[in-house]
Amino acid sequence: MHSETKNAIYLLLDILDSMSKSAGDSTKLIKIDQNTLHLIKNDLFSVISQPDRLFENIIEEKKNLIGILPYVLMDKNKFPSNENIVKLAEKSLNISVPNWKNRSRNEIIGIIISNIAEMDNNKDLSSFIYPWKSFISDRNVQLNLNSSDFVDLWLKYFDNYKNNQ
Amino acid sequence: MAKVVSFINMKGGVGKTTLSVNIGYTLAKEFGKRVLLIDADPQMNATQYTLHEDLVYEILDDPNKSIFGILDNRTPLPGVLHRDERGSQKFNGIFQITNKFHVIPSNIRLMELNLALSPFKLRKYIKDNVNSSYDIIIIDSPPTISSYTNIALLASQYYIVPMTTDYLSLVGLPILEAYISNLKQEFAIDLTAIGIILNKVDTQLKMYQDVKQKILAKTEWRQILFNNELLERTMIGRAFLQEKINANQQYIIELNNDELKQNIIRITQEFMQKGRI
Repeated sequence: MHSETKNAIYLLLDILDSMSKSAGDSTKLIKIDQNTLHLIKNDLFSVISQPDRLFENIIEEKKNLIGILPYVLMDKNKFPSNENIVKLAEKSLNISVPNWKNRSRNEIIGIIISNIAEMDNNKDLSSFIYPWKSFISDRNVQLNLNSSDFVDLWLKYFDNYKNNQ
Repeated sequence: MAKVVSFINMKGGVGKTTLSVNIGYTLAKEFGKRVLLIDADPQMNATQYTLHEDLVYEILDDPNKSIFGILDNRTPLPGVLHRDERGSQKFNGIFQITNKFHVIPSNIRLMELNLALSPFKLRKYIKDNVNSSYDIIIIDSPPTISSYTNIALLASQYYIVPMTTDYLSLVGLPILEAYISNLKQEFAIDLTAIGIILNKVDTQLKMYQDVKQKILAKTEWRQILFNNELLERTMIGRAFLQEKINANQQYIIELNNDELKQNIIRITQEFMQKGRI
């Protein structure tokens, strides 16, 4: 959740509290039942707590990604050259591979996976994981999974996903 | 980035530890927040509240496994490796109570340290080491005007004042206000009051009503007074037994008492709302 959204929810809670306090006044513009207020509050607090559940998911997703990504990156149909792998890492994971031209495919994959394992910026990781999962399960993508322009297809998908967020 | 909140009152026995520990635990357990509780009081109340007895003895034997290890800046003895050279010896005084509720305990030997020499040491430790790993860092401060209290407040952006509804606690409020105002001026820091939480409340007592009226009569206190108050229940004190601590059953939401559970959950919700956590 964006911090602006969270602050808006807190502002709404502040307003509800103020209205609840003034409900005791003789004017009674708006009457708020205390039980209903607690119910609303509990729901709103459960919404506020959601980013932390997202954080837990990211940790799990990270483990899954580390397990599956080497297998995907080894596929020469999807990644005919090492450059394709480096391109995916740089543009969608913000990971650079130094001297990649002098490295074997296995070395490059190892460096990328190590970087993901050490990544503690959950924002970078979630911005990759969610579109990646969506991309892999997209039916249109499935039809082109073995195409040689796999990386370009992914990067186009990734940019669209980011722009629509 | 974590928000850092000190629980402070110059008077002892007002519920600083009960509230800081239980709000911290509830934030982690009920609301999924990543919480670090730092016990800055050499009396070690929060340490004993949260850690098993054998761990408390271990910390007493090795003060470096407590906040002492962060704040000790005495020159190493000749022949002993200098701090920079023993870079691999990382601070190992963070204890995991649950997945998301961690504790840095205190140690009685904190009193040996001259903390006035480096008042921002805890602030620096938090900024450099733990700030990004938690949503909230709660500091249980000592009930004194001392260098321990200074380092706790200087590491915080916010503070909470737990108090009981008796006349002495009320007298303590302006003293605390003056102390914090001086500290803010002396060190040029931002420190905002999140609120005053009433503890050990018995709404039937006349003293409760008197004290509350006096708080409500002062605009700046009325604005931050929590709507939710922790009720006086012997069950809360009785939970502080070793067998309960060993089973992590000492926390209010674990007492199998729905009234108290809802009570601490609502206080925690209000804490989140007022602190925008």
